[in-house]
Amino acid sequence: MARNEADDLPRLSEDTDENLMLRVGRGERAAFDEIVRRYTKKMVNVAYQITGDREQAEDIAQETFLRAYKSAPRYTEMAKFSTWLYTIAINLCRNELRRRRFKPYSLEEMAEREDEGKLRVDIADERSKPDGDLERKEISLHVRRAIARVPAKFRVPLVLRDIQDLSYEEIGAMLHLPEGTVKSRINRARLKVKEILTPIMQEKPGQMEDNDEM
Amino acid sequence: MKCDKARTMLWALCEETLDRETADALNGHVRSCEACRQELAGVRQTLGALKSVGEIEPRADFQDRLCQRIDAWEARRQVTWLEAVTALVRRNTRLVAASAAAFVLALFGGLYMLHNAIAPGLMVSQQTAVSPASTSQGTGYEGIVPSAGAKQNFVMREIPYQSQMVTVTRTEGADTIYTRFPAREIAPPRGLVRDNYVDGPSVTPVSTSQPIY
Repeated sequence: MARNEADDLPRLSEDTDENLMLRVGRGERAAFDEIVRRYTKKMVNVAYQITGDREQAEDIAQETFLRAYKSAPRYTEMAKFSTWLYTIAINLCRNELRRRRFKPYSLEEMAEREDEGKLRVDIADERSKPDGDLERKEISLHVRRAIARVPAKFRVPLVLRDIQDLSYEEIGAMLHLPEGTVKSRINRARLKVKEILTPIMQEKPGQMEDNDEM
Repeated sequence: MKCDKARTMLWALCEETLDRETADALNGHVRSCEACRQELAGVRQTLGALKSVGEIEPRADFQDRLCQRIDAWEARRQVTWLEAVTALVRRNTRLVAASAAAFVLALFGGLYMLHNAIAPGLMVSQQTAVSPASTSQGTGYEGIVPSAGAKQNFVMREIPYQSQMVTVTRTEGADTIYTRFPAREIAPPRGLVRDNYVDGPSVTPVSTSQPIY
């Protein structure tokens, strides 16, 4: 591993997340920039997939990083760094969903409002691209709507497993749930998504098959 | 394999988390069962659709905005504790003065009680001065039991009494107080029976029913 000659530490880009966090705790701000670079997209997307709101997803990701930075001096390698960071983000998402219960429109409506708006923009921007891209975006919209209709309790582990591609063990650690409960919740969420998507798949079999990456 | 059982395992089959034997049995069933084959196709399509959900790109200024928030937090944190206390005092002069007075009162009250008080209601049936020679072990001065057979019932604790630590031994019937003296030359504290102070392991109990406080 390449090292800085001056202090004998690994280069930031080559250091582990856990070591970077320890370096942040010792006051090395550049180490935190590296962590942010590695995890920004993941945090924004996990928050977006859970809340269905782009603005809030960015706010949640920002707050996640800020909390991680504040905790850096007390950080100890008790768990995998990514698990710890995801846990902060998920808790913030849950708080947001709880707060939103009192809002006049539902999560699904919000997701639709946003996605429809975004789709129009995408259509306008991508006229020159092949039809397949637009179809994929339409499918993506249907899937997002389906995910938004799954209750949060089941949606969160579904997003972590099937979209973020995390292991059952990691999800269990993040949600403080036994692996069996995680599997059962994911299974229920998948069945719900399948139930919603099946009529659409039957309506547009060609598009959905193109999307089938399994 | 029956359809009911097969359908519970289709998601796991797609995720390749089944052991080989189960996966083979399930694949065998699916090949021979049209309904389960269709169900498997639906499961695959659903998983494929979920995995194909596109990602959004964070805004270009995400990191800059985060840096600004961190800088603002760092700036706030650098306000020294003295400045914080000064600001607090300025904002809440009366509250701070009242809190300080209450603290001082509580401190002196506590010290006074520690100096003088023994557990309320403690009645003394026997008082005996025990010299350090009778110490058995530890830092406590275990008194020799005046009356035979009571030793097993001892529960000893040290309490402050008139600037000295005295050992209170609770027996079944009443409380027995033994004084703890750091050296023979030091007289027993006032209030205890001086005349019965004895050197050495043998002690003479003095009966009284007077509370010592």
